[in-house]
Amino acid sequence: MRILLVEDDPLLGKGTRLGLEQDGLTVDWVQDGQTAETAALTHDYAAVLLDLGLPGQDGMTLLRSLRRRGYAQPILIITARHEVFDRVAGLDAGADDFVIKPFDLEELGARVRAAVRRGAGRASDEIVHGDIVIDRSRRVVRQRGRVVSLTTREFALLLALLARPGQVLTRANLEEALYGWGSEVESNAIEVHIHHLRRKLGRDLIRTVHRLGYCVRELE
Amino acid sequence: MSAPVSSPRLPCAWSLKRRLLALLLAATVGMWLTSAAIIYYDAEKASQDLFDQSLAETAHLLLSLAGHEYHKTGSVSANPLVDSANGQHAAYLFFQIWHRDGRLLYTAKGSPYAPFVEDNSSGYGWMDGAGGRWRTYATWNAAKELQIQVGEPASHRGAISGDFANRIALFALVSLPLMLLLLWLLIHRAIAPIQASAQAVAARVPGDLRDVDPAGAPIEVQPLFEELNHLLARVRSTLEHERRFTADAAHELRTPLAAVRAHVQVIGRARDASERREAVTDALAGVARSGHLVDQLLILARLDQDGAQEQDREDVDLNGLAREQCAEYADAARAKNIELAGMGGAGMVFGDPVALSILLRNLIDNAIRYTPAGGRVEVTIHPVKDVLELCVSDNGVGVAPEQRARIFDRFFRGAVSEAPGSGLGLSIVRRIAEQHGARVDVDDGINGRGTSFRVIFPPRDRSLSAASMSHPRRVGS
Repeated sequence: MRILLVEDDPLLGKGTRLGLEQDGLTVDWVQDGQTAETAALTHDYAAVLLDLGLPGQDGMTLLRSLRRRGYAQPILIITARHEVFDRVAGLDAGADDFVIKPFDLEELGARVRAAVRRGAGRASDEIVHGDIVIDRSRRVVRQRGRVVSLTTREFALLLALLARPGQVLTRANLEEALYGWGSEVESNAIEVHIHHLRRKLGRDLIRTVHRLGYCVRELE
Repeated sequence: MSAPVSSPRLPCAWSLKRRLLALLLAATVGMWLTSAAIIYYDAEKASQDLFDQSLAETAHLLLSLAGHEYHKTGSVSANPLVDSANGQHAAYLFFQIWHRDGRLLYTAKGSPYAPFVEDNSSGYGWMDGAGGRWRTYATWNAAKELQIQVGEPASHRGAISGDFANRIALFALVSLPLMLLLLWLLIHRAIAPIQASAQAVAARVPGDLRDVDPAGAPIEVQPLFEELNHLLARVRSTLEHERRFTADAAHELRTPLAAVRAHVQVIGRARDASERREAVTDALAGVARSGHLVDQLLILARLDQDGAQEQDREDVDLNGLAREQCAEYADAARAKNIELAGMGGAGMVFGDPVALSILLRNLIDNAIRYTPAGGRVEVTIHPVKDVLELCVSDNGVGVAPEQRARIFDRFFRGAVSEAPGSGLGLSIVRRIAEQHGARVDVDDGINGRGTSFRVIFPPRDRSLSAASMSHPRRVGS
């Protein structure tokens, strides 16, 4: 799951990105409003984490602008202001949730997942696909009740594929979902991860579509 | 020795009500006493005249009766006279009938035998008789043969005027408490609006700084209310300013704290040693930033204390201070590969050397912060006409012209920085400049890029008056 983090403070931005990555998210981090707007409109993010106190275009303006352009993905506000007035203004402007500084990384991750889940119209954090049950909040994958141990990347890859069963995802699609900007991606990284997933969860789960990419079988 | 601090009233405090009451009472009683004295004197004089007239009439009546009898019988008997005397004057009228040759023909019962009047004169007189002073009257009959001398003790008259005086005094005694009560009520009513306002102020909770409503108060105390309301307005704006500043400061501290918390959590969940090491470094950087922010807040708080800096003024070599600060920042500049150059001749200003160091430090720190690697920062000091100009320029990211007015606002951030400051540096710079009567201008930096801050110090004599004008010291504190 790839999210956009808009935070001008270098230290906080870096810490937040690292923390969310430890949670298995892929994070693109930008430091100002203009870049954030371009990034949000040109990439497919599961959610946007937005700091309100930005230099140049401030967070509220960006939030309104995105919503006006019909941007429908969940937007969570990170702010130091926690008065009811500020929260109401933020929520009314189109924010889905509020996180007050200094926040807990676990809670931030949970709120992002919750917002994404709600955005996708799901009530639970659990994804069931055949005999595979994925608990997104605890990042636990079970197959026929047996826990399957996956790395962060494998987990993210599995989620990306399961998000759209039956749809073919190209290697580029998957790389974008897995890696943030500036990460160096080995040319065969996706193939390696797919290989590991098949080894752990069975060969039939992921189908290779020749010259196009990969897809997960749609269940009847 | 100092006066007791907790004394509820100042030694010169006085009660308007009591003073008004005392003055009004004294004036009223004084007027009343004067008029009572005049009335008493007039009444006394009028009654004396009446008494004298009555005495003379009685004397003439008795004399004519005695003359009539004397011509008929050659003597004067008691009967008709006593009857006549008893009728009106009872026991307090005394008289003697004298013959021209000096014989005492008759003396009324109880009257002394000595003549009331020594010579043979007629008219009114006074004598010392039994029981005090007597009023006397003597007259001769038409033939100048018989003389009557009438005497009346003054005590009788005194009793009547005393009675009169008693009645006046009784009236006074009854009316005085009534008047006291009336005056007190009137004064109370007149002062009630002022007291109501005072009580309304006294009953307020400490945070209640609304204007006092002067409605109903007399025009004499309206200026007091106006001044009070001006003061309240000033206190309100100061408190609002403080409140906003405190809130802003608390919010600003949340960002570095959030960074520290995030990095500490990253440490706890680190996937490898290098990630852990880096997070530790970043958490410490966050702590350092929080510390820097707190330092800057303290500097600003200290600068906000009126008058605190004025006794620390001396002649300061601005050039020397600039050299010191450039040396301080040499390492930081080198680390970012920024060329930090200081130039300038002698530059003496009259001011607080500590505050001026802080001003320089903030300007240089700001310039290095917002200048990318390979850039240049220049610190110059030179006189321009009669003023001294301190200029810190860079060729860094610069400030958009529309933002230049706002960069001195507390916690305003114009651009992204790799290492953001406290957001207070330029507020501190402007505050210190103001306290030195100096002006801060913002312009383009070196070769039209970046930013330059020019602090223009006025000549020494003007810097003193400008500084004291911008911060009027409280009188009497």
